[in-house]
Amino acid sequence: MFFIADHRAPPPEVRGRPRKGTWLVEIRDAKTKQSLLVEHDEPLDAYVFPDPETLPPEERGAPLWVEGERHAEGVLVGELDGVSWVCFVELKGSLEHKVAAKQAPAERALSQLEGSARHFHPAPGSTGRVHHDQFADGSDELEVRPSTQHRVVGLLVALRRIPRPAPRRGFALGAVEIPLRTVQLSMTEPNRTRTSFRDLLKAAAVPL
Amino acid sequence: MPRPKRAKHPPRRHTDVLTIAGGGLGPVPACELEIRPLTVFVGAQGTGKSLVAQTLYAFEELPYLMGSASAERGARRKSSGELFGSILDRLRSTERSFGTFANRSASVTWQRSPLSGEGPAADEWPRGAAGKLGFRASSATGQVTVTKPMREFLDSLRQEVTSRSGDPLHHALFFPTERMTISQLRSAMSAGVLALPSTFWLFTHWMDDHAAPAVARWRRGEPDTPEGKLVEKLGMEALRGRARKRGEQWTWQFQGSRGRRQLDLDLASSGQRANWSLPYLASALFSLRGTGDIANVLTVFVEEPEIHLHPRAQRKMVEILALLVRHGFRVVVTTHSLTVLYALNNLLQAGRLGDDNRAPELPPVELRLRAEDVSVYAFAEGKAPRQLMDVESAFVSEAELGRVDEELGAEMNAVAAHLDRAE
Repeated sequence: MFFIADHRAPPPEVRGRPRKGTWLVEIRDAKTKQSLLVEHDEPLDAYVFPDPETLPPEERGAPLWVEGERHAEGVLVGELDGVSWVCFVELKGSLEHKVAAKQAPAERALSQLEGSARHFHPAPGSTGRVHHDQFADGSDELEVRPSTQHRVVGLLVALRRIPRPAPRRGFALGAVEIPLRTVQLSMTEPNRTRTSFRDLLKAAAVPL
Repeated sequence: MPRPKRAKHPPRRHTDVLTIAGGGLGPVPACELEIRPLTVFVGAQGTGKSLVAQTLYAFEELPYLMGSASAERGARRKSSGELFGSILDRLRSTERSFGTFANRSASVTWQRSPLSGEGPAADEWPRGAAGKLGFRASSATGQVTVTKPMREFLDSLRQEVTSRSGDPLHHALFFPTERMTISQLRSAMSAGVLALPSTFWLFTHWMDDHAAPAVARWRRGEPDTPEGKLVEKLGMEALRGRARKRGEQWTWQFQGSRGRRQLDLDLASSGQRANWSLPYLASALFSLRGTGDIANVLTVFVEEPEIHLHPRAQRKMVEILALLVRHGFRVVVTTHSLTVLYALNNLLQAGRLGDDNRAPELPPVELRLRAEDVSVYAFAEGKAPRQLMDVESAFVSEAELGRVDEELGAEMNAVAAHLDRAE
């Protein structure tokens, strides 16, 4: 079976330890080396998704992940002011649309975020239902478990300048509107940016 | 993954140290700054970037500044320390003494690391100065007093000036922000109706007396330097034209549809007027190098190379500065531009590649920078300047200047969220 818990993000590659009483997680794209470091003063965890487009079938986690299914780099799971959050994250260096014939990078990234949210949506008979059942029966045990009332958001994190207004949209999953937002964060190291969970959600202007 | 092969750059050059102690200078508290071949100061307005750059310039250009101060009327009656105090006073303002920038009492020392003899030939500057050169400034008296080694050094410089004919060599050149108004203000200065910081008139004279003849010779192919050609190309790409000096008049030659039309320099665009002097000066420096007309180790101070420029042109300006650094000149820059940092980071990251890697999409080898050659300090009021250059990763944190873009992005998201709710 495919368990998200098996894909917990590796410990952040940082000098020194995080401050006491804080959580520091990193979502890192192994291919591009782009990374997002997020710190928080409440439990926070990160998972990095395997890439079904590049992994051999036996490692894709089939049948839950299928070939060609678009998904984000990873997901952050945490709580902020008593609200449980599931944030799908896609990292991009630049959102410049260089080749007109190709889909704009921002558009592609937003569709990856949408794909992730759809994948996990627990509609009857869906892969999302299987995931949620596994979370519920404890076979897929997450370190930080979202509450049943958790909120979902897709964040496209750009590491250098972005088009303005920032690409954004939303889509409905059942009765819930899932916001997809772009935030720009400056690099503190090559390909790497660092922020707090609160600032990340605030920058996206999702109602907290 | 194996680390990329180190680039075969010119040998490592020296790092000088500027130390501010006591109560600090203006908004800059006690600190120690490593001045490397390329040093960049970033930070908000009024955080002391220019003050530190000007102080550093006073040390680096001491032989010339002391020479001209010693030749002034009444200089004989003044001590070397008093002359140095008047040099500092005039760097910043004609109306305020430098001592008033001290927070109660501040001491400033400058130590040039021993020149290794690598890169451009070492010229033993500062000659005969044992240990650190320094001074103290007091806000109570507004006075500057020099340390003993500094006084001895200044005395020896004065002696040298009086026993020799001709101007001392320049060891530093300062591009003040006032550079844009070179042609308009020169006439006001010659009429004696205007008093300006010494950095401005020294810069103006250098452009007239040294740069203009050197560039005129160079454009005739004497000498035919490839670096000069590259500078001119970068300058043309940045500014879409180039400056010329015809007789006493500076003119601007537009590139492109306006052909070879030449106009008075004052009629060029604000960006062209503010920045023509940088590629012009760089061409002159490459042409003058090794002729004995400039010091072998020469520092170019540039205040805000980005002023009035399109981001594409800002990038070219950084490339010109990088070319100077690659060829043994030293550069000190103050900037507020994120584009400047982006361009710098690209050249630093490219510097991690071997010189053999000349893929066309990469910055040219002649422009790539080595992390050990670069210092970048973030200035903030009341805080010691913070080094942003991480030598190991060859990367300057962009967060310091990028924060505003982040805030604007967040604000735009907030506005969009409200618009959603309003619709």
